[in-house]
Amino acid sequence: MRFYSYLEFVILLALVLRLIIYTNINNKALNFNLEIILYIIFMFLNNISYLIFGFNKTSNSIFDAIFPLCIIVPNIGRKFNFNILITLILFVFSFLTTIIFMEEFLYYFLSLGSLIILILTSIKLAQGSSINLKKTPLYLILIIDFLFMIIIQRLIAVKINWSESHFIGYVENVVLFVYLINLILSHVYVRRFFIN
Amino acid sequence: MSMSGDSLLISLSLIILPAFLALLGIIIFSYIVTKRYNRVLTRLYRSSFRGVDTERKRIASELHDTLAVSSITLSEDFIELKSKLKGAELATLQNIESNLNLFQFKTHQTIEYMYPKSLADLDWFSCLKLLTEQLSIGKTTVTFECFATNTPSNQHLYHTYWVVQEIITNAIRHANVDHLQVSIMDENNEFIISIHYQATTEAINWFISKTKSKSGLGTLIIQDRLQIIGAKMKFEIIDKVITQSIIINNENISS
Repeated sequence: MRFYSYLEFVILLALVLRLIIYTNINNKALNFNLEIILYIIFMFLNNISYLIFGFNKTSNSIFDAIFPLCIIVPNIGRKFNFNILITLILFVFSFLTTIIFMEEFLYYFLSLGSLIILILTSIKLAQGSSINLKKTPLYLILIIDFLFMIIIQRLIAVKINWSESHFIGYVENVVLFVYLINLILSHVYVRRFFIN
Repeated sequence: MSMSGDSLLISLSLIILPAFLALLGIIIFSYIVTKRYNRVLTRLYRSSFRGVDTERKRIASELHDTLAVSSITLSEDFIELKSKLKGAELATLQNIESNLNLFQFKTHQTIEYMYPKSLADLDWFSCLKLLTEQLSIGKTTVTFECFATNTPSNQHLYHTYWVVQEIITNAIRHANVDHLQVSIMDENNEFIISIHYQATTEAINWFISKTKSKSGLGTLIIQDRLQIIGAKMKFEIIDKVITQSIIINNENISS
């Protein structure tokens, strides 16, 4: 598990560095791809937090609230033509509101909402130009990520003593394997969002 | 640590709902992508037809030019040789010359079949008339009559020409008919090319076998070419006469 976290750290660090380079090359794309940038940055921060604090319930619930908002808020901002600054303020405000409530069903519906947004976005992009079509794999990766996130959240929420489970270790391995594959694929497809 | 049946069902539903949504989304996404790539493949396939037609034109033109140059050189050589030879040798040479003329005529005919001159001129009526004349071979006669005043867009002539040719050759080959008639008319803003021939037993059997089995390559090419020009084909048997009609839509008519 520790080895996986270091591996994830290296991959995410490379991904964040690539994002910084790409946003410098094409900063106009920043507004159009804000959700991707925010999601990757917070994944990186989540990984650092795990490396520093280990498995922590508070940091977990903070990131559970942040990830869906990374998708929902930039989409709302784009819908109402907000600039990046206002979108980021809205993001911080919605994050604080979510954290104050700390309601597990609120987290669930936020995750479900972002899953629906990702599905609709990927369908919309698939109907668009070939450049847009090339962006869809990353959205599909995010759909899988969110689906796994929701399933894990629900499994944690169920009042069952998982420590007695024999197969939970296998499930964990499968989840980590899928996340790792998704991270590698993100490296492959992230360039399409900034450089055509 | 125990949980009630209701809370278990709720938890299960909360997991199944996003999984179902993701599955549904991916199915719709796959459908859109597959449809999109099918469209691209169809476009590529159609443009390959244009490529084949251009290549056919190029080969015919090259053959025609080469044959013309060789024919002039050979004619001059024959004249020179004929002035030098006498008697039996001259007769042999004349025989060779006659065979060569026949060969040249046949080659010219092949080139004409390959890419008719009228097809290059984009003249609908003369093009189809020439086609019927070319296909009148041996005991088979193909007659042509025209009652149309408007012709469809010139860019559709290519495909229509090869479709008509395929239908007539199919009828000659499979239906065992001696006489075919090609009629052109424009009616209700539709340009209709009808090919009529006798409904012989062979023709009916051939059509029955065609409907039972998967279409052959020729039929598929006919369908593809008709699809490219937005035309449809009608088939009917009236009074022991088979009529295959190519109907080109109103939007393709240029008055």
